[in-house]
Amino acid sequence: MNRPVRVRRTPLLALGAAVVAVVAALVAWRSSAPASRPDLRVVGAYVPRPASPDVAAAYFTVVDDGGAGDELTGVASDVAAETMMHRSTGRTMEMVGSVPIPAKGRLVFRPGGYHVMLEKPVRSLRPGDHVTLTLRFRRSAPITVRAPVEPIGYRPDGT
Amino acid sequence: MFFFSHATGRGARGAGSRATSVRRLAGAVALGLLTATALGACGGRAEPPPVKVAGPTPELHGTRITTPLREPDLTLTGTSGRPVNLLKATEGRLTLVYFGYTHCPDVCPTTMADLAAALRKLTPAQRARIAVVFITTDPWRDTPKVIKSWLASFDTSFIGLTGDYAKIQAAAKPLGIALERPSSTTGDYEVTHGAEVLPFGTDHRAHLIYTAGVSATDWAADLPKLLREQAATAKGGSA
Repeated sequence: MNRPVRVRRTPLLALGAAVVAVVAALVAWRSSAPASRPDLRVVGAYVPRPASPDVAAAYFTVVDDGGAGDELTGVASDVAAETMMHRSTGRTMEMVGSVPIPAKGRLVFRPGGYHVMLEKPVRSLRPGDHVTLTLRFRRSAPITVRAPVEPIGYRPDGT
Repeated sequence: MFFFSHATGRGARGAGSRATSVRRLAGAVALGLLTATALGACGGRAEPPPVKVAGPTPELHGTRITTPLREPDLTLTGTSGRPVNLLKATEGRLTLVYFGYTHCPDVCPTTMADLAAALRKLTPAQRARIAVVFITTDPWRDTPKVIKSWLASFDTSFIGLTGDYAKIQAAAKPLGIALERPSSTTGDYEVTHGAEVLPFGTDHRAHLIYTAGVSATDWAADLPKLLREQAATAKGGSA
């Protein structure tokens, strides 16, 4: 950590220290948040380049750092007027209205499991493009992420 | 079948979770004799005959079946618009047959992409001995042109077949792959289909089945073994 003598010498460092202190306080506040609240973030969102011009799929992971779970109730996108949450099983696909997110856990949308179907994308999606996804939850505020379009067959590392 | 209603969705879940457990079990050691025919459980009618699963294969990611499945002598329309006979078009090659549809957002493109990625890991000589055949379960939307464009996203050498739905359904049934005719074929609809990949050897028999979810890496590991197995069988070994 910064020594006091250096902080006095450069105001910029003092400012930096203040920022660190605020961040630390925020982290402390977060970790001391009531255990009964979900604390969500969305990571690893992507859309594989669709092989069909009429349908695409979106995948992501919702992480809940909070002490209470939540539910994903829908996903909207800038490229599709209609979206649907599905779960693929061995042989078929079912529409799901909401999907639970466990407290201190994660909900993973991945090929062959949960996915968001983007119907009739309004533009062609190529690697390098981005798709906006807005995830709505039962308890938490919506979260909007920009999902990159990845090559066909893409799998995120480690999943 | 439509999955826009929750009731239908729940009906489908039974079939799916059973399929999933088949896959899990296949990986486990203690898989006895089990009937892998969840296949039509969500429809109830037109249930195909059971496919007897012999057990997991120690060296392969598929599931060995006790009675080999016969490759159907099926003539449909190829992506060029001309008739294509499955047996003749794939003669002498290990043939991976998959039933699916191009408006399928998840499992079908994932399966095709994984197979294409696996083939890219093989040598050109191995690659030349393998055919991949996509047979549509949605001939209403999947015209030869639509299938050709869709398959080109994965591998231009993949063979695509479309044609009369009843004919496709009849060919799939003895393979244990249940197809359900959608209740409506206008607007947006989904098509229920078995998601297995069937590897037919040069003897036109499949001795094992691959359920959905086999990764490109696992396919790339299995395909050379299947080619070796097939060569051994062709030399006079019994199935």
